[in-house]
Amino acid sequence: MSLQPDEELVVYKSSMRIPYRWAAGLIASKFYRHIAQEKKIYATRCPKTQKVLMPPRKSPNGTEDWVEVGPGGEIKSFTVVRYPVPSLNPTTLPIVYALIQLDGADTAFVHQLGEIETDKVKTGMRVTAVFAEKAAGNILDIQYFKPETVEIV
Amino acid sequence: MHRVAIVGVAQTKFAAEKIDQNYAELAYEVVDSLFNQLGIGHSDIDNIVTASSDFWDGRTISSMAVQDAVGAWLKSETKVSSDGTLAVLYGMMRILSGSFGTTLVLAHSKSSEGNQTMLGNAVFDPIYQRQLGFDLVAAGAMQARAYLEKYNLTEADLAEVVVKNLGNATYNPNAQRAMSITVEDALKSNLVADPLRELDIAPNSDGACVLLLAREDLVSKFTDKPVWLTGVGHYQDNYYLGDRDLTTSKSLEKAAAKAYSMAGIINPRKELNVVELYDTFSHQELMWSELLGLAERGRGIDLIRSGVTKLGGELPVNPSGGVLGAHAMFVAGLVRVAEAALQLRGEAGAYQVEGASKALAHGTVGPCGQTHCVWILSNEK
Repeated sequence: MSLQPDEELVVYKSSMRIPYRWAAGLIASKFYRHIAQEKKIYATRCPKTQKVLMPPRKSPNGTEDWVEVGPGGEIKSFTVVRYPVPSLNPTTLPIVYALIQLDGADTAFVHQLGEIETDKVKTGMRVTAVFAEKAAGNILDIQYFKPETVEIV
Repeated sequence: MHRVAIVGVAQTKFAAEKIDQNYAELAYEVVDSLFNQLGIGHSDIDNIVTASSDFWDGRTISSMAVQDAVGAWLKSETKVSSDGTLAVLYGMMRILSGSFGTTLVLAHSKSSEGNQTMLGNAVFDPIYQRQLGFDLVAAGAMQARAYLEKYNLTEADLAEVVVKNLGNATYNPNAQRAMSITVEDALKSNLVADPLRELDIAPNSDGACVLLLAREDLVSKFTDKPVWLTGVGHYQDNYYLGDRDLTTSKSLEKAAAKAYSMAGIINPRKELNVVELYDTFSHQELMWSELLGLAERGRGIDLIRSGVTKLGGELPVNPSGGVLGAHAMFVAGLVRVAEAALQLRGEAGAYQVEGASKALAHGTVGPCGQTHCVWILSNEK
């Protein structure tokens, strides 16, 4: 079957907006509580491998060993994104995403950079966390990471 | 243990937007084509395994949309919400269980219908990652940079992958993106997420693909050119990107080792005749080639520079143009298996690898290659 010149194909345009309530669990709740109350980042040390995992994970039988990490760390890789990202993140384009390994952690995690020109970002660069003024219980409670400045005493 | 063979394959042309077909019609096109090709009908299919995603299709139990089209009425149909290479694994297992003689394996996807950035963002967990807004492309770009920097490679090296694969795609009538271009041309394409440019990133495609698998005693009923599944390996890696070393993939190394050992392959570079691998981004063809044991780590680029992996080379990689030529999510891995099968049947047309008897087909899913499935296929039992 083919279309006649005066016939149009129907495309039904719609969207799905479904509210969810995702339980963060005991571990992530504690992680976000440390940020909200103390502006400190905590990760967990695996009792078996002794590796400090960021983000924190559950250990057997509640044996989590909480370790403060950061707020400084090192960029392991990054990208400058030039296309619109979902509005979950209100940051304006371009957005620099980076894999950051915080001091004291054995794994890196993804976050975004701020207060830096996109062409100045380099792998291996030192950065430090900037916390959001008001914590909301999500990963943007760390607003972004900015280049670490060396203090001259 | 019984042997299982691919006895027929069919695929659609891949395009950015197939608005003249809904999901069921897309699936029906390939099933109808396969049935006509083999001269078979509904009663010849013992069970069906499909691959698709609820999120990508925008409906729950996405396989329900295609159940009539695949002939699942009063039969057992089950779904893999992941890449099509895993549907082949599931389909083969269903035959090996002794319960079924034939399995129809189908994958369908329409990238044009949902917002790909939002879908690629929903891959990440809502507790620690999603709110950042990054997606599969941004993740792939961070992997590309880590890989390039580790081995002192450049964007021009990535462009060589693009030139080879988009050039190969000009011989493939089903490809969506096919171009005869130079490295300089490729380097002029728009920067999307550094260091990846538009042409380094697989296009978003609509399309479907189907295979028929049969137990060895039933094979002759369908074809005199069976393609035997002789080895397979499937492994997962960590979910969080920062838990992995993104410049390598333990899951792919293990999957390859398992598939090679099952198929009795000792030197893949010498024993394989053709490779179809799932490179969502140009750097991944280099990485995956290395991890499949075809080159030293960091030296995947030499396979392209020396012409080994070009069409007409000693071991062509992605003669169809690969995923850079067309990328219907979840279908693309099944297409790799189908393309490998076409090569082994001598039916790959203008991109036929002469005399191919052993092929590797690879599928991956998840950010930066979290899951890998490696298949070894042979036209000799």
